[in-house]
Amino acid sequence: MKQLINYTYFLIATAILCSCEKVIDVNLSDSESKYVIEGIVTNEAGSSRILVTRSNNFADGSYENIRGALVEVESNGTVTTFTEANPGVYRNTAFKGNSGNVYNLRVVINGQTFTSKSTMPARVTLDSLFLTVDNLDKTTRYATVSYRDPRGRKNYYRFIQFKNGKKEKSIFTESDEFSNGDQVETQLDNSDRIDDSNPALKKGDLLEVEMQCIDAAVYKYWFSVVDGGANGNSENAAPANPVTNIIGGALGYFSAHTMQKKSLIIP
Amino acid sequence: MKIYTFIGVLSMSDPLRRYTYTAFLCFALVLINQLSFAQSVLDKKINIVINDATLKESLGQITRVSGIKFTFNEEVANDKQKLSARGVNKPLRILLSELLKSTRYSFTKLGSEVLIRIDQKNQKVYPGAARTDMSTQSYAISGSIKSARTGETIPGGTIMIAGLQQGTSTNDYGFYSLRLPQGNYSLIVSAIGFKERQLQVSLSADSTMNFALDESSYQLAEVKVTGDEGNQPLNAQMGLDKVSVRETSNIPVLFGERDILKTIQLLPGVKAAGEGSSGFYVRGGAADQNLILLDEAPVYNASHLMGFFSTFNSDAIKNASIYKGGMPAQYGGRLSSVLDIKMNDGNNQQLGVSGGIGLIASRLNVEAPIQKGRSSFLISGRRTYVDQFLKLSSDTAVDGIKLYFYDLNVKANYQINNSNRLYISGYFGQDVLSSDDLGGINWGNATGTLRWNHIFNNRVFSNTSLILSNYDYKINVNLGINKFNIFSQIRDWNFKEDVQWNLNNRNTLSFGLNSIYHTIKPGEISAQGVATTVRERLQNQYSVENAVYISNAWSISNKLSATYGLRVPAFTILGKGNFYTLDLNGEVLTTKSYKSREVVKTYINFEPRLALGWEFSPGNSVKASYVRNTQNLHLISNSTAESPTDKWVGSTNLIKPETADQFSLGFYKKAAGNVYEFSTEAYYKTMSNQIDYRPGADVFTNAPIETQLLYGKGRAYGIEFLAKKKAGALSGWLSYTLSKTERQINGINNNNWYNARQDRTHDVVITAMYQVNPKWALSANWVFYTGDAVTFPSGKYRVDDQTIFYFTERNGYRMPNYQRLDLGATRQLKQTKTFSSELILGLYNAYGYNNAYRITFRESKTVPDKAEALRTTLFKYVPSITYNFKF
Repeated sequence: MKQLINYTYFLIATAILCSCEKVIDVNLSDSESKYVIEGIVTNEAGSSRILVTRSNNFADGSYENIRGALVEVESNGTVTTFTEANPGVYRNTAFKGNSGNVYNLRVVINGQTFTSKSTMPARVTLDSLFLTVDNLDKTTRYATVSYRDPRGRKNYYRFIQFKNGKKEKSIFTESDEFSNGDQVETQLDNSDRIDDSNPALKKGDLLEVEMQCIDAAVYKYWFSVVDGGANGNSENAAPANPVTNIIGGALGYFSAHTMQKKSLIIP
Repeated sequence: MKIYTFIGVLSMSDPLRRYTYTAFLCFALVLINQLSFAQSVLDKKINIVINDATLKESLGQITRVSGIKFTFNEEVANDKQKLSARGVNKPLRILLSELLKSTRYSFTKLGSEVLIRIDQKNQKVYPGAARTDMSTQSYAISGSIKSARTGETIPGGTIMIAGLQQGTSTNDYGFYSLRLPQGNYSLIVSAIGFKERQLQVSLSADSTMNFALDESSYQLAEVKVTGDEGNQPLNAQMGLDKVSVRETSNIPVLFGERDILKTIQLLPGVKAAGEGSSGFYVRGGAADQNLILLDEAPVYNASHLMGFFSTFNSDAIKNASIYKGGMPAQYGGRLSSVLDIKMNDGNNQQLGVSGGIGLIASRLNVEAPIQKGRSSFLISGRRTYVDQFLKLSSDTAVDGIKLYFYDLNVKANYQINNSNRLYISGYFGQDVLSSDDLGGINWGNATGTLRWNHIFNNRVFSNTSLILSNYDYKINVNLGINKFNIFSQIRDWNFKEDVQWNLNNRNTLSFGLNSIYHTIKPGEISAQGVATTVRERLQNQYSVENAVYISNAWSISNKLSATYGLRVPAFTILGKGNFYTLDLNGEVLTTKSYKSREVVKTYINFEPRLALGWEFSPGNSVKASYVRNTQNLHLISNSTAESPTDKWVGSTNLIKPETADQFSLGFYKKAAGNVYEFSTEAYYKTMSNQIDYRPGADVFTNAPIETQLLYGKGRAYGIEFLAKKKAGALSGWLSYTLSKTERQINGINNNNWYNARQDRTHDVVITAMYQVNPKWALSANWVFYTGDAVTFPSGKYRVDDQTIFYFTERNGYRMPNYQRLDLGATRQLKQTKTFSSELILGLYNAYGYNNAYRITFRESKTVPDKAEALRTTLFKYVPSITYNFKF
């Protein structure tokens, strides 16, 4: 909603004002490099993975993958070890999570230990995927999802959009704070990221949307990535680091979630 | 002057910046030249023979031979005494001394002119005036000062007693009261923009005297001297700047919309809240810490259209006073400043119509007497018409957009008799921003004030007001297939009683009370989904803000004065509603429900107010003050642009009243018959219970707002310099502020002190107005300030296949330094007794400097894993044209 107001504002503001944008050099200081852990455990075998990298300075290029870490996920007393499949990428192809289980992550890098905890919520069915048009610009179409939010408990969702197999950067999160128990239809409006993601949908494009049911801490993480301005796309007056659920001083998140996908060909 | 050295120290890397410094220095040189020219006027050599001529004739003779102009009052003009003087190549100084030897007049330079005035030292002393001992029976004179043309009361007018360094000034309603021993006096009545009047009074009983002053007829005289050097009543008030709309009408502004909020931003210690913004920061405080009053009614959102315009239509405004420190005890409720804006009363002498057509808006102002001299009304309106241009667009989507705002000010007043006057005033303003398809947002203020001025007797003046303030916004959004409606409102019922009691010649007591009933509806949301409609009502907040105050202005001697007082606000939170306790992470621990009207909590604060003033030599004074302020309404905002949806919340059991203690010290100098003014003020302010968002806070949550907040303390300090030339063809000011403002909140920035967003180290403003001739007036202002403190990333990392920026320090970086030159020109088109019109041309950001409105960061489109910074610039070379008329 806030984005929508901002969007309305900026649309009209840019129509009136001759605002101009330019890439400039800003002298930014260096920061101490931090470990970054991106952990995912899902209800589908083979898709769980833990990525370990490092942060670098603003002016630097590619990120360093961290090799040789010890990565374990524990649930109900069972410890599963994730092994390094590619540099910095730790997998266990046999691992499959279950809704309702609490997962404890432990990552040891050069003697430093990082932990986290995430609960895999119950799966909510993604009923359908279809297209709707932009309210203002009728030529732009967006993917739209429909699902029935279960009444009586708090639910959090995240959606990821793929176009022709390529993942887009827009982060769509939703909570049922204003829609508890409703049939919810959400337009995945990626217009504010359109400059650096895929351009508009064209006839024949393959559109896929992944729906994740996530827990409260992970919702807070994604929400604060967007709202806190850490992905550089915000009107926030005091941008801040997202609220991580990893303990021990690493950046990133650990998410135990259910996943499901729907797709369509753009007519 | 210190200002220049500061400029010299600033780095000069950028050629454009260097150019502007050069411009700045040139301007300074012009000012200095003016000063030195003024000094040389009296040294000018003159050949003349004056034989048995009156003073007026003699001065006319000197003007003819030398071109030097004189300023004098009626008494001088009517003086019949015959004078003689002669000289060959004689400096004017010596010639005038000889000429005036046998008279009671003396002279002083006044810019490039010479002022002839009644000599204070050789003043013929009237019986009684020589003795101010209290053994003689003393009496009170009271009344009001008004404009002869319009009947408008004049606040801040002065009444001085010739020969005695004593006098008083009118209060906000144009009322004065003065106590003097029995005797004969010569009174000098003056006000900025009006001709001075002098009259003899024989005082043998309490009496009422109302004065009507004529307006100075031409532009040049508008900011003429208000009294003799060092002959103003000494007042302990500091941190106060008064802005008259008339005085500042030539200052160039964005889109040519004259705006009192933009004018005050040019004063030291007051800073614009961003490019083109009408929001402002005072002495390190946040934008919500300013109390903005329109005819005593608090205005909660003083801006239109993303903050680019203020809600105050200049046509309807009489004047504005901004208190940056040392607030009088009658004001309270905000930490940083009080901006007290008074609307015109309405012409009670004749019908007056004025208006204007500008780029953005058109204005019309009508005022007229209802009964001549007794009652009058005023109606003033303004509406923008950007949407009319959008209609011309062929794009149907744009065609459906509504975008406008309007302001309507109405006022009526009725003078029942000499001691009773009633006023009723109202303001209505609305912004509409909507599209047929997307939904829209409307927001606006409404205020109403019913006021009764009553004079109990010559010494006691009372002002009783009943005030309504309302601010609300409505949003309806068509979000894809879902529809939302949001309604939010803040409404105050406000009763105020202020009494001024002139105890005796040395003491004026002010006391009163204020009671406000606040209702805040933070938001009623109805969401229409595919099949269902959800109605959520955020809990309404009810509270009563009571305050009593007493304050005494004590004139210890002619040279020393003190004001001391106490204000006691009590903020009572009422039910019904739920109130919470939270754990350290902001999660709700317990909830307690209160019934309707049940008292949840009362916060009582004591606010001592103290001010001292000492005029240690004529025209030179020092002042010191201490003030404490409390704030119980807080604006919760986290966006860079001003938004109508910024949320006001009252104090709760968890949100404690914000308090601020401010100490300030100032030095003030007047020179050349008040033509030049120099002042400097230093301040130190500490603040407690400052509010900020918790990291990762959700502003639009339904959860108690306290779960998203953190609290801490703040401190601000700085020094402000102001050099002002008030009269002459060239007038204007130069202001410089050096300041710092910081916050410390546990949970933010690793619990360390960090710069507040509004922290700006240097802030320089030059404003100049030059009257070329009666037809043309030119103006310019140049603004330079250190960029705001901002949070920029110090690193980056990869999550979810995209770059996420890593922040190490809150507000640890700076926006680039800001600078801008605005130019303006006013051409008087037609000027007759019944009709006048003018054309105002303006150019905002005249050298097109690329100021950063915001800087954002993004992944490079071309090089993977690389990042880049993107600067957005809003206004460059914005021209404007405005046509104004008056009849």
